[in-house]
Amino acid sequence: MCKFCITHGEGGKWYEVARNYAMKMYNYQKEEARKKRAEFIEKKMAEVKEMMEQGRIIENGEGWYVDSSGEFHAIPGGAIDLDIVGAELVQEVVDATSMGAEDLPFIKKKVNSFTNKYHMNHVITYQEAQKVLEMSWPIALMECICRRERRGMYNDPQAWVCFSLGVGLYKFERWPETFRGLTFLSVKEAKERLEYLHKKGCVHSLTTFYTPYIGGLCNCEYPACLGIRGRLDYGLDIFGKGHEIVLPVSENCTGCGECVQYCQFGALNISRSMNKLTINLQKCFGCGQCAEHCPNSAIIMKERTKMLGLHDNW
Amino acid sequence: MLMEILINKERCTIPLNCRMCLKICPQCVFQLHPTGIKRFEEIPPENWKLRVSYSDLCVGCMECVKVCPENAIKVKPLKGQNKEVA
Repeated sequence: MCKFCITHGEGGKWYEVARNYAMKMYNYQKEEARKKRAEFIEKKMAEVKEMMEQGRIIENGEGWYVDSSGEFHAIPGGAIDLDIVGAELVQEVVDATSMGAEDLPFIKKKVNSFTNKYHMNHVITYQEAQKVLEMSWPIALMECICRRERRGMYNDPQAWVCFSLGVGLYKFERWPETFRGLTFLSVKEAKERLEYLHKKGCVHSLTTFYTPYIGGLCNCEYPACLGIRGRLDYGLDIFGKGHEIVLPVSENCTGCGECVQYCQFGALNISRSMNKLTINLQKCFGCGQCAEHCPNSAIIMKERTKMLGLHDNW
Repeated sequence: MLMEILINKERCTIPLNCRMCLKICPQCVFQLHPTGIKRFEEIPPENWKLRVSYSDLCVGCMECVKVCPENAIKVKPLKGQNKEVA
């Protein structure tokens, strides 16, 4: 079972639980609760200070610290920009990889503890993405941060692919660069945009901001997406696999190769000798793009948990 | 072989207005990253800095060197590595 479903699923899939889109996760509080939280933050800060004096903190920055076991912690009450911190942490792994640093496993552990706890993407299928748009409110379309930074698509309508969801949107005026090109959409308009992006072949994924609060529905592509690249090229736990996988139906397959161009993860291949599709299921993320675009319905979706060898491969 | 990409910051002053290397790179190694973010403010164009993000993925195709209008990019093999090909 998916690790997020175990901790936040309430007996089902974690992204189908309405609470995970709700305001509660964003710490809206009444007077009394706010006072309690302030006390908690004070206590935690004193704890952090004590830890620092004892030398149990090996690294710290603005609003976060890393304890001696290599776990990343955000200090409660401290304002950290998860996008920026995440990108910097991935950059640290990239630099360590290129230099062949000996402490690469420790850096990876730190980054994975950050992504699992605070900021991670999780692949969903097109149907589930439609359901998410029905569940969450408000919905706004914004410029993709990855495409802007990695491909230079600045003020480019082709980069308006990320849906920002839920109450996290209240701060769109506070960070105009993060929420560049923000357009509020109705559910119908959002679904039309989603259909357009789906036909283009983008991978739908949910983004968490302080897991399990779901704050975004991204439509990603390799290599511009930091998440897919971090997972495929650097082995980071930043882009989680979906709840489904695909299986080829060889009787229907004509070997046209239409599906191969829609795989962002390099899992599909056409067998030249048999003229049939073969799928590397260890690499499959379950986005369902190949199944949707197959003209002969030669690819079927199946639940990951039903496959004995794959049920723990997330 | 690992490559080293050098960006001349004196020549590449406002990369946000050009972005040609970002668009042409087949391995997508560059990053345009914002500095000096402030609340309630859009950052000025000169605060967007160009840097090399995935330097270990560079293949040395020299497309960025050819396309740069200011000749600000240099690509060369990284010094101090074993040159024998495995």
